[in-house]
Amino acid sequence: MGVNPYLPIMGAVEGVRVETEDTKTFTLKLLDPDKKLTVNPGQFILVGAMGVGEAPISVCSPPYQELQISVRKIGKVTSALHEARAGDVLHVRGPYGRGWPIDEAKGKELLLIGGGIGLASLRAVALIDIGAKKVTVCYGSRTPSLLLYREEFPLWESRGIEIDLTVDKPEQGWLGKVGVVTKLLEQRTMDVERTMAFICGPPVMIKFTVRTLSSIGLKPDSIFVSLESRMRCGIGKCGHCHFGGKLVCTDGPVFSLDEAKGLPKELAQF
Amino acid sequence: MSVGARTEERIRSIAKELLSRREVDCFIGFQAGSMEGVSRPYFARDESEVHRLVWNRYCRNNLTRYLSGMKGKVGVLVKGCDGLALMQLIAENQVKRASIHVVAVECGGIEAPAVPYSGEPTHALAEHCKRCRANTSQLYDTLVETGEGMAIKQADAGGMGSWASPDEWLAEFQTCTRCLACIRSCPICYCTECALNGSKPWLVSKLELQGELATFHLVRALHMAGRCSECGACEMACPARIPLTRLYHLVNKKVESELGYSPGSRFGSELVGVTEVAEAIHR
Amino acid sequence: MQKLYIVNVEGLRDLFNLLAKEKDLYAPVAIGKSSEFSKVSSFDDARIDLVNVLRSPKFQLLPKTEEMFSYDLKSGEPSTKPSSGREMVFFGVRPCDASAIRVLDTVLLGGRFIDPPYSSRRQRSLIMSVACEKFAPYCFCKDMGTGPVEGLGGDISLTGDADVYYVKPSSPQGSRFIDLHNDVFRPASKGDSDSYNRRRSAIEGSMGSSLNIKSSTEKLKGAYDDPLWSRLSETCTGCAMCSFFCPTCYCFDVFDYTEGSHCTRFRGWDSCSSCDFSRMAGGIDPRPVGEKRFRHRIFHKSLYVPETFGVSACVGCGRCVSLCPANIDVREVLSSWA
Repeated sequence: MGVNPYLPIMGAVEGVRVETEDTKTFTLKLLDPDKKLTVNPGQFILVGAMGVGEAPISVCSPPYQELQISVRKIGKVTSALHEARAGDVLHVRGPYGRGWPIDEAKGKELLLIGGGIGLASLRAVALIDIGAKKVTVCYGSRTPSLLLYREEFPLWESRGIEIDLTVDKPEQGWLGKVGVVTKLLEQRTMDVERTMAFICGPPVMIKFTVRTLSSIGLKPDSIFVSLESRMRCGIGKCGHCHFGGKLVCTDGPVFSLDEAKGLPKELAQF
Repeated sequence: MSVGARTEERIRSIAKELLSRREVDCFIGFQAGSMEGVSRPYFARDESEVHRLVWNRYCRNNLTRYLSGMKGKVGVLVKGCDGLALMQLIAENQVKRASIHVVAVECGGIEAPAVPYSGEPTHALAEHCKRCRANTSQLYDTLVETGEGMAIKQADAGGMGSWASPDEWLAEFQTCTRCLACIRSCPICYCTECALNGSKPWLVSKLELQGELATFHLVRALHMAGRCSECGACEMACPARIPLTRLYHLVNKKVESELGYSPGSRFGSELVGVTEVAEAIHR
Repeated sequence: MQKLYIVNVEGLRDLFNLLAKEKDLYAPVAIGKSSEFSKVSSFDDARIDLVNVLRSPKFQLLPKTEEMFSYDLKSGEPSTKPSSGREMVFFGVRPCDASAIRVLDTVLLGGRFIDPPYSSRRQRSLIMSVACEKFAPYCFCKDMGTGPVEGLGGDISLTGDADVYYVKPSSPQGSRFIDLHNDVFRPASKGDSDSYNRRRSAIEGSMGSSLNIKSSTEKLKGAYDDPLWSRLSETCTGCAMCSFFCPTCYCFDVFDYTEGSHCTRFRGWDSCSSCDFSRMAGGIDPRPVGEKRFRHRIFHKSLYVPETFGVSACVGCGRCVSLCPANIDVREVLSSWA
């Protein structure tokens, strides 16, 4: 264990795509050609803006593609990241955490349920052929202009993924569904025995989605959630993500519902 | 019965009456600590709890510190210095006069706390008590006289002897562990987001970098100028026993001489603005 | 590791004065208004007459503020300062603090990753604990199983008895040290062993009990939703004193400090009692109020650390009890449900 896990490696921004008014997707490249990051869907990296600090960001690209992260501008580090242009250097550490259990989804009907920026972590799953019987994306955001990856959806659909969208508040020109994501789920018919759900989004959205799925009849061992926490090291030493007997950076961020129910209620209520 | 015991009986009966008549939802006083030589804040919420209330020379906390967040009507026990803080809090709109029932106790001085962890009791008057401005709060609803106030006399008219040099102050600041106990014990530090707690580090981080320790203490002193009641709660909480009250007394004196304002002195009228204070200190 | 040795105080003194020439000898000292582990040049400077020091060895092994690496803003390549330093011997560590070092070792050196700054310091440290002979009103090591004679950590534990010390190695490193200096440390005879056991019983027997930690911890598991937390926490002012002086608290925050085109990443102690400890960018906070932070601190120390790392994070040193400005006594808190 000679490597210092606190030392970042160098990455550079290769491309910037504006997704919404507060979210950009960055394509990153590692400067050292001998270094490679194999990120399982659901894992995260710690991205550092020069002179500012690090933030934990879920990787939204599958392992076979270039490294991509979708960053929502919400704090000190993410605001600095949003200033980055192609060619700018960044710090990268990781990948860390336990990702989505995609092997368990073979032959299942997989629901990828996202809220807002939460879809980023699920995109990595959507772009992998995991051998599921069917993949459905149920995705909602506050307004239509805050929906991520809309230009990619035709590609996803061409791969057989069903995309079910909704917004809390419609804007002019929106002809799609209006309402919360749980309403989408209530309107679906599901084979509860064969369905598996991956949920990622704001804590409130996760809470109500879990409640809805549970009342529909999904078992806790087929429901997985990605939880968020303040993090400072990513490797289980700084103590900020320690909840109950689990460290969100190491034992998570993906937890089965059974595991999540054992966590202190202050983190997430189920 | 000794003066101390009689005073405690009086405080208990006042608290009991206030609670049983639901005139207050809570009475903030002191109870015996878990060790000798220590008393600690206690929130009595029912008349069955008032027997725990005590009054002695270990009653170090400034209980008005707990008032800013509280809902409903609250009874609070105050020493003289605490009363100055309370008047300042009311003047700064942090506490509504109508929502508190003030029990002023005539204070005979507080014992300096032991050197933290492995220290013997001092059996000595706390340093800030030697500069006592008022042994009894001028603001009260109920007064508990003890006759002990006469015990507080200024050690010498000049204050506390010679003031430390800047180098000595800087050396004191270097012993600071940034635990923020000073800020958290202080009623005047009611800001929900403190500029010095390092969470949005535009003044200081949480860490001991470069001149941050000096910055922390000097900025705090500036914020305390003209507002600090010199109750000593910060100093008695400090694990490094930095003589904070002495520092704030220094800036208070400046504000008093230049602007004629001291905490609670213009109770009921206009407060002094912060730029006036900064300019006064600069002079 | 049950071998017992014996050493004369004189022999130990000579050994240390010799060691002080090539190693850094840290011992308890009183400095100004405080007490801490400081470098001493002579055995006699060690203030083992003090019950304990305010600043535990944590202040040396896991400094309050330390540099992680630095980088130039343009290239971003991190560079670390080479970690160097002489070997350190910590003498006079109390069994509670030695047990605390074991907790730090478990968290920072265990698991998938090692914490290099702590590791490099710890690897060149020898921890020698000395049994307590007097206790303070806030000591409760016996209840926590971390003292007053032998703790759960450290490399060598010493128990004083008139002009000798009984010596027990508690790690391979400790055994090696004793073997290396076998001219000073003699294997104990049967008589010595009996004397040691008598001495140990006498010391342990003279210490009282403050709480039943086993029962308290069990009951605590079901107490998460107890409305009692509101009353237990209402006088807590949310400072960081308990965390900073606690010998096992390890949580840290990270800060990039930029000057011109050069940036240094520092880390330093953080406290879960602080208002922003669990706050995320955007304002979501699982513990936005003091009551939740207070409850978390107790749960983390008593339940979460044991569950995650297999060690109890409280060693009964009593610093939090003696320092808390509101005199919140963790023994009373834990006994609320016993």
